[in-house]
Amino acid sequence: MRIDHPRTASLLPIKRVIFVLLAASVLSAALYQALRAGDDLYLTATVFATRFLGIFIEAVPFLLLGSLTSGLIETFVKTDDVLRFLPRSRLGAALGGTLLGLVFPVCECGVVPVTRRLFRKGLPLSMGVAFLLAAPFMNPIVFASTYIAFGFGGVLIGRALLTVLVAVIVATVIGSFADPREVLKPSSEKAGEDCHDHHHHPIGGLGLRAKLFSAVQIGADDFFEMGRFLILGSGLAALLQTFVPQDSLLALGSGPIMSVLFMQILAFLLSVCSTVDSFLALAFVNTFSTGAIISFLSFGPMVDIKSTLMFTGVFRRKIVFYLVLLPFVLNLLAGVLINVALGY
Amino acid sequence: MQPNLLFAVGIVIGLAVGVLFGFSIGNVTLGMPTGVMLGLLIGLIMSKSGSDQT
Repeated sequence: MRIDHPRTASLLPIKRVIFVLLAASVLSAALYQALRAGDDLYLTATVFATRFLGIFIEAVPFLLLGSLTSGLIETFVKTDDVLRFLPRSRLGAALGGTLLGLVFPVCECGVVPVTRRLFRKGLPLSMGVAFLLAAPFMNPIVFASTYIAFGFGGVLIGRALLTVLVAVIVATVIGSFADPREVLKPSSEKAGEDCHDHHHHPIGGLGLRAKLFSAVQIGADDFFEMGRFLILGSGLAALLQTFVPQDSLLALGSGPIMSVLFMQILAFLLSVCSTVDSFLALAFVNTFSTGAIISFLSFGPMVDIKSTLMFTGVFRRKIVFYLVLLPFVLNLLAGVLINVALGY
Repeated sequence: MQPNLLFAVGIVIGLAVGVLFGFSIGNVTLGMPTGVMLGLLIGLIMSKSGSDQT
Protein backbone atom coordinates (compact mmCIF):
# COMPACT_ATOMS: atom_id res chain seq x y z
CA MET A 1 0.00 0.00 0.00
CA ARG A 2 1.36 3.40 -0.94
CA ILE A 3 1.30 6.14 1.70
CA ASP A 4 1.53 9.79 0.70
CA HIS A 5 3.49 12.18 2.90
CA PRO A 6 2.45 15.80 2.26
CA ARG A 7 5.58 17.33 3.78
CA THR A 8 8.00 15.12 1.86
CA ALA A 9 6.05 15.65 -1.35
CA SER A 10 6.17 19.41 -0.94
CA LEU A 11 9.95 19.34 -0.56
CA LEU A 12 10.63 17.33 -3.66
CA PRO A 13 9.95 20.07 -6.25
CA ILE A 14 12.47 22.36 -4.46
CA LYS A 15 15.08 19.62 -4.55
CA ARG A 16 14.32 18.97 -8.20
CA VAL A 17 14.65 22.65 -9.07
CA ILE A 18 17.98 22.91 -7.23
CA PHE A 19 19.36 19.80 -8.92
CA VAL A 20 18.12 20.86 -12.35
CA LEU A 21 19.60 24.36 -11.95
CA LEU A 22 22.89 22.95 -10.73
CA ALA A 23 23.05 20.37 -13.51
CA ALA A 24 22.10 22.99 -16.12
CA SER A 25 24.81 25.38 -14.95
CA VAL A 26 27.48 22.68 -14.92
CA LEU A 27 26.39 21.45 -18.36
CA SER A 28 26.39 24.99 -19.77
CA ALA A 29 29.83 25.68 -18.35
CA ALA A 30 31.02 22.33 -19.70
CA LEU A 31 29.69 22.94 -23.21
CA TYR A 32 31.12 26.46 -23.22
CA GLN A 33 34.52 25.19 -22.15
CA ALA A 34 34.44 22.34 -24.68
CA LEU A 35 33.45 24.60 -27.59
CA ARG A 36 35.85 27.36 -26.58
CA ALA A 37 38.82 25.08 -26.29
CA GLY A 38 37.81 23.14 -29.40
CA ASP A 39 38.13 19.90 -27.49
CA ASP A 40 37.31 16.58 -29.06
CA LEU A 41 33.81 15.95 -27.68
CA TYR A 42 34.10 12.23 -28.28
CA LEU A 43 37.27 12.07 -26.20
CA THR A 44 35.67 14.21 -23.50
CA ALA A 45 32.61 11.93 -23.40
CA THR A 46 34.72 8.80 -22.97
CA VAL A 47 36.72 10.46 -20.19
CA PHE A 48 33.45 11.43 -18.49
CA ALA A 49 32.09 7.89 -18.80
CA THR A 50 35.24 6.39 -17.30
CA ARG A 51 35.26 8.83 -14.39
CA PHE A 52 31.55 8.34 -13.75
CA LEU A 53 32.02 4.57 -13.70
CA GLY A 54 35.05 4.90 -11.44
CA ILE A 55 33.06 6.83 -8.85
CA PHE A 56 29.74 5.02 -9.16
CA ILE A 57 30.88 1.38 -9.31
CA GLU A 58 33.33 1.89 -6.47
CA ALA A 59 30.65 3.39 -4.25
CA VAL A 60 27.67 1.12 -4.95
CA PRO A 61 28.78 -1.86 -2.77
CA PHE A 62 29.21 0.43 0.25
CA LEU A 63 25.80 1.94 -0.26
CA LEU A 64 24.30 -1.55 -0.55
CA LEU A 65 26.12 -2.78 2.55
CA GLY A 66 25.10 0.32 4.50
CA SER A 67 21.49 -0.05 3.44
CA LEU A 68 21.36 -3.72 4.48
CA THR A 69 22.99 -2.97 7.86
CA SER A 70 20.50 -0.20 8.37
CA GLY A 71 17.64 -2.60 7.65
CA LEU A 72 19.02 -5.21 10.07
CA ILE A 73 19.50 -2.67 12.85
CA GLU A 74 16.07 -1.20 12.27
CA THR A 75 14.51 -4.64 12.56
CA PHE A 76 16.50 -6.33 15.31
CA VAL A 77 17.77 -3.59 17.68
CA LYS A 78 15.26 -2.20 20.14
CA THR A 79 15.69 1.50 20.88
CA ASP A 80 14.66 1.03 24.52
CA ASP A 81 17.58 -1.33 25.09
CA VAL A 82 20.02 1.33 23.92
CA LEU A 83 18.39 4.14 25.91
CA ARG A 84 18.86 2.18 29.13
CA PHE A 85 22.55 3.13 29.17
CA LEU A 86 22.16 6.91 28.83
CA PRO A 87 24.80 9.14 30.52
CA ARG A 88 23.46 11.82 32.88
CA SER A 89 25.85 14.79 32.38
CA ARG A 90 25.46 17.09 29.36
CA LEU A 91 29.00 16.56 28.09
CA GLY A 92 28.76 12.83 28.69
CA ALA A 93 25.48 12.74 26.81
CA ALA A 94 27.02 14.64 23.89
CA LEU A 95 29.98 12.25 23.79
CA GLY A 96 27.61 9.30 24.07
CA GLY A 97 25.55 10.72 21.24
CA THR A 98 28.53 10.69 18.91
CA LEU A 99 29.08 6.99 19.69
CA LEU A 100 25.40 6.12 19.25
CA GLY A 101 26.08 6.08 15.53
CA LEU A 102 27.87 2.76 16.05
CA VAL A 103 24.58 1.28 17.27
CA PHE A 104 22.39 2.94 14.65
CA PRO A 105 24.54 3.09 11.51
CA VAL A 106 22.56 5.52 9.38
CA CYS A 107 23.42 8.01 6.70
CA GLU A 108 22.50 11.71 6.92
CA CYS A 109 19.18 10.97 5.28
CA GLY A 110 18.11 8.29 7.75
CA VAL A 111 19.47 10.00 10.84
CA VAL A 112 16.76 12.68 10.99
CA PRO A 113 13.75 10.38 11.53
CA VAL A 114 15.80 8.17 13.86
CA THR A 115 16.76 11.21 15.97
CA ARG A 116 13.16 12.35 16.12
CA ARG A 117 12.11 8.88 17.23
CA LEU A 118 14.82 8.89 19.92
CA PHE A 119 13.78 12.38 21.08
CA ARG A 120 10.22 11.10 21.47
CA LYS A 121 11.54 8.25 23.62
CA GLY A 122 13.20 10.76 25.94
CA LEU A 123 16.74 11.14 24.57
CA PRO A 124 18.49 14.23 26.06
CA LEU A 125 18.75 17.20 23.70
CA SER A 126 22.56 17.33 23.64
CA MET A 127 22.79 13.59 22.97
CA GLY A 128 20.26 13.79 20.16
CA VAL A 129 22.03 16.71 18.46
CA ALA A 130 25.43 14.98 18.77
CA PHE A 131 23.93 11.82 17.28
CA LEU A 132 22.30 13.82 14.49
CA LEU A 133 25.59 15.42 13.49
CA ALA A 134 28.04 12.58 14.13
CA ALA A 135 26.10 9.43 13.21
CA PRO A 136 26.44 9.85 9.43
CA PHE A 137 30.20 9.40 9.90
CA MET A 138 30.44 7.42 13.15
CA ASN A 139 29.47 4.05 11.76
CA PRO A 140 31.49 1.07 10.51
CA ILE A 141 30.51 1.46 6.87
CA VAL A 142 31.76 5.05 6.60
CA PHE A 143 34.90 4.18 8.56
CA ALA A 144 35.53 1.36 6.07
CA SER A 145 34.86 3.49 3.00
CA THR A 146 37.13 6.28 4.31
CA TYR A 147 39.83 3.69 5.07
CA ILE A 148 39.56 2.15 1.58
CA ALA A 149 39.72 5.57 -0.06
CA PHE A 150 42.46 7.22 2.01
CA GLY A 151 44.07 4.44 4.04
CA PHE A 152 44.87 4.69 7.75
CA GLY A 153 46.35 8.15 8.08
CA GLY A 154 45.78 11.84 8.60
CA VAL A 155 42.53 12.11 6.66
CA LEU A 156 40.77 9.24 8.46
CA ILE A 157 41.96 10.31 11.92
CA GLY A 158 41.35 14.00 11.17
CA ARG A 159 37.84 13.27 9.92
CA ALA A 160 36.98 11.24 13.02
CA LEU A 161 38.42 13.76 15.48
CA LEU A 162 36.88 16.77 13.76
CA THR A 163 33.47 15.10 13.50
CA VAL A 164 33.45 14.22 17.21
CA LEU A 165 34.77 17.64 18.23
CA VAL A 166 32.27 19.63 16.17
CA ALA A 167 29.34 17.38 17.13
CA VAL A 168 30.19 17.63 20.86
CA ILE A 169 30.64 21.43 20.77
CA VAL A 170 27.42 22.06 18.80
CA ALA A 171 25.46 19.59 20.94
CA THR A 172 26.74 21.12 24.19
CA VAL A 173 25.98 24.68 23.01
CA ILE A 174 22.46 23.84 21.82
CA GLY A 175 21.85 21.62 24.87
CA SER A 176 22.91 24.44 27.20
CA PHE A 177 21.06 27.35 25.64
CA ALA A 178 18.00 25.87 23.95
CA ASP A 179 14.82 24.87 25.74
CA PRO A 180 14.21 21.19 24.91
CA ARG A 181 10.48 21.94 24.51
CA GLU A 182 11.28 24.61 21.90
CA VAL A 183 13.49 22.47 19.70
CA LEU A 184 11.09 20.17 17.90
CA LYS A 185 8.28 21.50 15.77
CA PRO A 186 4.90 20.83 17.37
CA SER A 187 3.71 19.11 14.20
CA SER A 188 6.66 16.74 14.29
CA GLU A 189 5.27 15.04 17.39
CA LYS A 190 2.41 13.65 15.35
CA ALA A 191 3.98 13.75 11.93
CA GLY A 192 4.51 10.71 9.78
CA GLU A 193 7.98 9.38 9.23
CA ASP A 194 10.39 10.98 6.79
CA CYS A 195 12.43 9.56 4.02
CA HIS A 196 13.14 5.96 4.94
CA ASP A 197 10.22 5.38 7.16
CA HIS A 198 7.37 4.94 4.76
CA HIS A 199 7.97 1.20 4.81
CA HIS A 200 8.18 0.74 8.54
CA HIS A 201 5.46 -1.32 10.10
CA PRO A 202 5.14 -3.16 13.40
CA ILE A 203 7.67 -5.98 13.43
CA GLY A 204 7.76 -6.88 17.10
CA GLY A 205 5.65 -10.02 16.82
CA LEU A 206 7.16 -11.37 13.62
CA GLY A 207 9.24 -14.55 13.32
CA LEU A 208 12.92 -14.60 12.42
CA ARG A 209 12.25 -15.26 8.76
CA ALA A 210 9.72 -12.43 8.51
CA LYS A 211 12.09 -10.10 10.38
CA LEU A 212 14.92 -10.93 7.98
CA PHE A 213 12.61 -10.33 5.05
CA SER A 214 11.55 -7.03 6.58
CA ALA A 215 15.21 -6.05 7.12
CA VAL A 216 16.05 -6.80 3.49
CA GLN A 217 12.96 -4.88 2.38
CA ILE A 218 13.96 -1.84 4.47
CA GLY A 219 17.55 -2.15 3.20
CA ALA A 220 16.36 -2.30 -0.42
CA ASP A 221 14.17 0.77 0.08
CA ASP A 222 17.11 2.63 1.65
CA PHE A 223 19.30 1.61 -1.27
CA PHE A 224 16.89 2.89 -3.87
CA GLU A 225 16.21 6.03 -1.84
CA MET A 226 19.91 6.88 -1.69
CA GLY A 227 20.78 5.48 -5.11
CA ARG A 228 19.43 8.49 -6.97
CA PHE A 229 21.62 10.82 -4.87
CA LEU A 230 24.58 8.60 -5.67
CA ILE A 231 23.85 8.72 -9.42
CA LEU A 232 23.42 12.50 -9.31
CA GLY A 233 26.50 12.98 -7.12
CA SER A 234 28.65 10.72 -9.28
CA GLY A 235 27.44 12.46 -12.43
CA LEU A 236 28.09 15.93 -11.04
CA ALA A 237 31.51 14.95 -9.73
CA ALA A 238 32.44 13.32 -13.05
CA LEU A 239 31.21 16.41 -14.92
CA LEU A 240 33.23 18.70 -12.66
CA GLN A 241 36.32 16.57 -13.06
CA THR A 242 35.95 16.29 -16.83
CA PHE A 243 34.89 19.76 -17.87
CA VAL A 244 36.03 22.25 -15.27
CA PRO A 245 39.71 22.92 -15.89
CA GLN A 246 41.98 22.03 -13.00
CA ASP A 247 43.48 25.54 -13.19
CA SER A 248 40.08 27.09 -12.45
CA LEU A 249 39.56 24.78 -9.51
CA LEU A 250 42.99 25.62 -8.19
CA ALA A 251 42.26 29.34 -8.55
CA LEU A 252 38.95 28.93 -6.69
CA GLY A 253 40.41 26.73 -4.06
CA SER A 254 43.74 28.40 -3.53
CA GLY A 255 44.67 29.75 -0.15
CA PRO A 256 44.14 28.24 3.27
CA ILE A 257 40.71 29.84 3.75
CA MET A 258 39.16 29.82 0.27
CA SER A 259 39.97 26.17 -0.35
CA VAL A 260 38.14 25.11 2.84
CA LEU A 261 35.22 27.45 2.10
CA PHE A 262 34.87 26.16 -1.46
CA MET A 263 34.96 22.49 -0.42
CA GLN A 264 32.35 23.04 2.30
CA ILE A 265 30.01 24.76 -0.15
CA LEU A 266 30.62 21.90 -2.59
CA ALA A 267 29.80 19.34 0.13
CA PHE A 268 26.58 21.20 0.88
CA LEU A 269 25.52 21.40 -2.76
CA LEU A 270 26.48 17.87 -3.82
CA SER A 271 24.56 16.27 -0.92
CA VAL A 272 26.34 12.99 -1.40
CA CYS A 273 25.66 10.15 1.03
CA SER A 274 28.27 9.87 3.78
CA THR A 275 28.86 6.20 2.88
CA VAL A 276 30.33 7.19 -0.46
CA ASP A 277 31.63 10.75 -0.09
CA SER A 278 35.20 9.58 0.58
CA PHE A 279 35.50 8.38 -3.00
CA LEU A 280 34.35 11.76 -4.27
CA ALA A 281 36.79 13.54 -1.96
CA LEU A 282 39.57 11.30 -3.24
CA ALA A 283 39.17 12.87 -6.67
CA PHE A 284 39.98 16.29 -5.18
CA VAL A 285 43.08 15.26 -3.24
CA ASN A 286 45.55 16.67 -5.76
CA THR A 287 43.55 19.86 -6.24
CA PHE A 288 42.69 20.96 -2.71
CA SER A 289 44.50 21.25 0.61
CA THR A 290 44.32 18.58 3.31
CA GLY A 291 42.36 20.91 5.60
CA ALA A 292 39.79 21.46 2.85
CA ILE A 293 39.43 17.70 2.24
CA ILE A 294 38.97 16.98 5.97
CA SER A 295 36.44 19.82 6.28
CA PHE A 296 34.58 18.47 3.23
CA LEU A 297 34.43 15.01 4.80
CA SER A 298 33.41 16.31 8.21
CA PHE A 299 30.91 18.99 7.18
CA GLY A 300 29.22 17.13 4.28
CA PRO A 301 27.69 14.32 6.37
CA MET A 302 26.51 16.80 9.02
CA VAL A 303 24.75 19.31 6.80
CA ASP A 304 23.79 19.32 3.14
CA ILE A 305 20.83 20.34 1.01
CA LYS A 306 18.72 17.27 1.56
CA SER A 307 19.40 16.97 5.30
CA THR A 308 18.73 20.70 5.84
CA LEU A 309 15.36 20.30 4.14
CA MET A 310 14.64 17.35 6.41
CA PHE A 311 15.76 19.34 9.49
CA THR A 312 13.13 21.97 8.71
CA GLY A 313 10.46 19.27 8.81
CA VAL A 314 11.42 18.23 12.34
CA PHE A 315 13.10 21.17 14.11
CA ARG A 316 12.09 24.79 14.55
CA ARG A 317 13.69 27.26 12.13
CA LYS A 318 15.93 28.84 14.77
CA ILE A 319 17.42 25.46 15.67
CA VAL A 320 17.86 24.56 12.00
CA PHE A 321 19.73 27.83 11.52
CA TYR A 322 22.14 26.94 14.34
CA LEU A 323 22.41 23.33 13.16
CA VAL A 324 23.69 24.61 9.81
CA LEU A 325 25.67 27.67 10.93
CA LEU A 326 27.62 26.22 13.87
CA PRO A 327 29.00 23.13 12.05
CA PHE A 328 29.84 25.34 9.05
CA VAL A 329 31.82 27.86 11.10
CA LEU A 330 33.54 25.25 13.29
CA ASN A 331 34.56 23.08 10.33
CA LEU A 332 35.80 26.15 8.46
CA LEU A 333 37.86 27.19 11.47
CA ALA A 334 39.28 23.70 11.92
CA GLY A 335 40.07 23.31 8.22
CA VAL A 336 41.92 26.64 8.16
CA LEU A 337 43.85 25.70 11.31
CA ILE A 338 44.85 22.35 9.77
CA ASN A 339 46.04 24.15 6.63
CA VAL A 340 48.06 26.62 8.68
CA ALA A 341 49.51 23.84 10.85
CA LEU A 342 50.56 21.90 7.74
CA GLY A 343 52.17 25.03 6.32
CA TYR A 344 49.80 25.45 3.36
CA MET B 1 7.77 10.93 -15.37
CA GLN B 2 6.35 7.41 -15.35
CA PRO B 3 8.48 4.73 -13.65
CA ASN B 4 8.65 2.71 -16.89
CA LEU B 5 9.93 5.70 -18.82
CA LEU B 6 12.47 6.42 -16.08
CA PHE B 7 13.60 2.80 -16.29
CA ALA B 8 14.09 3.16 -20.05
CA VAL B 9 15.98 6.43 -19.57
CA GLY B 10 18.19 4.74 -16.97
CA ILE B 11 18.91 1.85 -19.35
CA VAL B 12 19.89 4.27 -22.12
CA ILE B 13 22.13 6.33 -19.81
CA GLY B 14 23.84 3.22 -18.42
CA LEU B 15 24.29 1.68 -21.86
CA ALA B 16 25.75 4.92 -23.23
CA VAL B 17 28.19 5.24 -20.34
CA GLY B 18 29.20 1.57 -20.68
CA VAL B 19 29.78 1.81 -24.41
CA LEU B 20 31.78 5.03 -24.03
CA PHE B 21 33.80 3.32 -21.32
CA GLY B 22 34.41 0.46 -23.75
CA PHE B 23 35.67 2.92 -26.36
CA SER B 24 37.95 4.59 -23.83
CA ILE B 25 39.63 1.31 -22.91
CA GLY B 26 39.61 0.14 -26.52
CA ASN B 27 37.34 -2.82 -25.84
CA VAL B 28 33.70 -2.28 -26.81
CA THR B 29 32.96 -5.98 -26.23
CA LEU B 30 33.61 -5.38 -22.54
CA GLY B 31 31.85 -2.02 -22.56
CA MET B 32 28.53 -3.44 -23.80
CA PRO B 33 27.80 -5.85 -20.91
CA THR B 34 29.12 -3.24 -18.46
CA GLY B 35 26.65 -0.80 -19.95
CA VAL B 36 23.78 -3.30 -19.74
CA MET B 37 24.45 -4.01 -16.06
CA LEU B 38 24.92 -0.34 -15.27
CA GLY B 39 21.77 0.50 -17.24
CA LEU B 40 19.72 -2.07 -15.31
CA LEU B 41 20.99 -0.69 -12.01
CA ILE B 42 20.44 2.97 -12.90
CA GLY B 43 17.08 2.19 -14.52
CA LEU B 44 15.93 0.30 -11.42
CA ILE B 45 17.03 3.07 -9.08
CA MET B 46 15.44 5.79 -11.20
CA SER B 47 12.15 3.95 -11.67
CA LYS B 48 11.96 2.99 -7.98
CA SER B 49 12.60 6.54 -6.74
CA GLY B 50 10.21 7.82 -9.41
CA SER B 51 7.44 5.51 -8.19
CA ASP B 52 8.15 6.52 -4.54
CA GLN B 53 7.57 10.16 -5.43
CA THR B 54 4.22 9.61 -7.12
